[in-house]
Amino acid sequence: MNNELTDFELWQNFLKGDRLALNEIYNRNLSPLYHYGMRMLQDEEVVRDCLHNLFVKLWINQKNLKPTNNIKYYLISALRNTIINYKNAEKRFQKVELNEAETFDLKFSVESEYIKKEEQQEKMLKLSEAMNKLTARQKEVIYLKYYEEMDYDQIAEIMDLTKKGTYKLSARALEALREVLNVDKAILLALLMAWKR
Amino acid sequence: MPNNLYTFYTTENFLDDADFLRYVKYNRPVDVSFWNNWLSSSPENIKSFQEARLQLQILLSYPPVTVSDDFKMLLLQDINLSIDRHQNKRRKKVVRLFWGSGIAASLLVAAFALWFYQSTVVVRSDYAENQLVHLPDGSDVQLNANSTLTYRRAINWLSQRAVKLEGEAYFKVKHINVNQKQIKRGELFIVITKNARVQVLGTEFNVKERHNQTNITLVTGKIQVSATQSSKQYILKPGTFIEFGPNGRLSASAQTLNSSTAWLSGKIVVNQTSVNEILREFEDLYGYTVILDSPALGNKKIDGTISIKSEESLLFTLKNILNVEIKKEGKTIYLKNR
Repeated sequence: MNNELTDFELWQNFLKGDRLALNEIYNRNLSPLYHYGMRMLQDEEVVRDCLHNLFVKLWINQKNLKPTNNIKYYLISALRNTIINYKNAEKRFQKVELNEAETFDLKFSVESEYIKKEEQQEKMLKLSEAMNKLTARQKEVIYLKYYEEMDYDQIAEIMDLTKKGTYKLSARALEALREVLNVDKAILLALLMAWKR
Repeated sequence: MPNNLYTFYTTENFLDDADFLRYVKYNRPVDVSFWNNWLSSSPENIKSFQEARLQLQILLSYPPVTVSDDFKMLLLQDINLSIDRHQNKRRKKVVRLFWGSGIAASLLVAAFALWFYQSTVVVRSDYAENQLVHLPDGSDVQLNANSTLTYRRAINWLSQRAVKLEGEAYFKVKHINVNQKQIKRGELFIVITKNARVQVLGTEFNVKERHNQTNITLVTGKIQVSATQSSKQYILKPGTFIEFGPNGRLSASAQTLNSSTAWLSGKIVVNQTSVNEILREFEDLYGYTVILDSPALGNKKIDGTISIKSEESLLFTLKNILNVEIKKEGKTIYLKNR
């Protein structure tokens, strides 16, 4: 029944205090939230805690929430804040030095599905290695853009960047990618040919 | 679809294009046939398209982390449990707050009622200071200097209106008796002094209680007076006074009204009154001790009206009548024969 509701209607029901609507919101959005959380934290227990807090707080603060027609975007944004708060709290507790870099777990790999020959695979490994050297924020932008299909406005909002900054981060990431790719046009071509579907 | 627009796309353009992203990501037949169609027209920028597609392939190569159904189900259970717990806590808090505030409010009311019922009001006039007191029942009491009137705050709710007096006061009691043949207790007004008890309905009278003597003078109406010591009762008629000592009645007479109530207009009327008596009045009203040079001076009798509005005027009068010198040292005044 609830499946037919749009994000906006579902959210309105939730705002009216409908617990089933909250459960529906959970069921529809848990998967992307979980992925995003795991990339930010790499620890399922902590991700679980953060998700738990996120949904409980969502219910408690019902009255202060605004209408939305993109629940996933809203929740990812909220989860990001929850995680950042968690990290800050942990830093305070454990007195971890700030030099511990922020991580966003997005590992690029070259599945053998695309590449048949050993030597090519080797080169592709180099390529993905280079990709993996992107900063956490660059990876996060790429993740939000290509995995969660958000536009630059939303990404900027979530990551607390200007839209221009988001473009830059993304462009720099793509630039890095292209640089690596341009190294060997032959491989690139081979890859392109090998790509099926 | 703007087929021809894609022909001008660079790799970056493709990478930013949502339709292109969906095509690479999901391979939906609709998208595939669209892009195959576009490719079959051999666009010039086919390399850009292919490069963008490869880059996206790599970008999207991260294997998705799957959420186990157990994780999803158990977490939802936990969330709902936490919300329930939170709501119960809040409901309990609200209920507790409701009862708590109810109890607190009734305690407050009870405490107020008790205080209101139990507490007394004490009005004290200082030396050289008169005070008009409005009682809650509508009666007025003019307090002379150095006097104290005490009454229960709930005087209107008590079975009888009663006040206690030390010093001197003029009473104007509000008459609340409805049926003269049937006087209810609550309609009585009672003045209690050390030696006497005055019971009235609604009259004007003066009560003076000083130095263990109580002098009651009736101005209008009728009052019933009894000594504290004996149960004997006296009825006073207007214009008469009665005096009580510790052991009962001392004297009663038809006194000239003026002398008892003259203080209201700031005077004392003396009629063959000794200087000692006048000085005692002065001491009572202004809080001095007066010391006479010779005892004979105190026995001197005076007639007339003396202003007591201020100590200066009173002393000035005495100085002239008695022909004495006046020396003031703190709260003591010496009168010396000239």
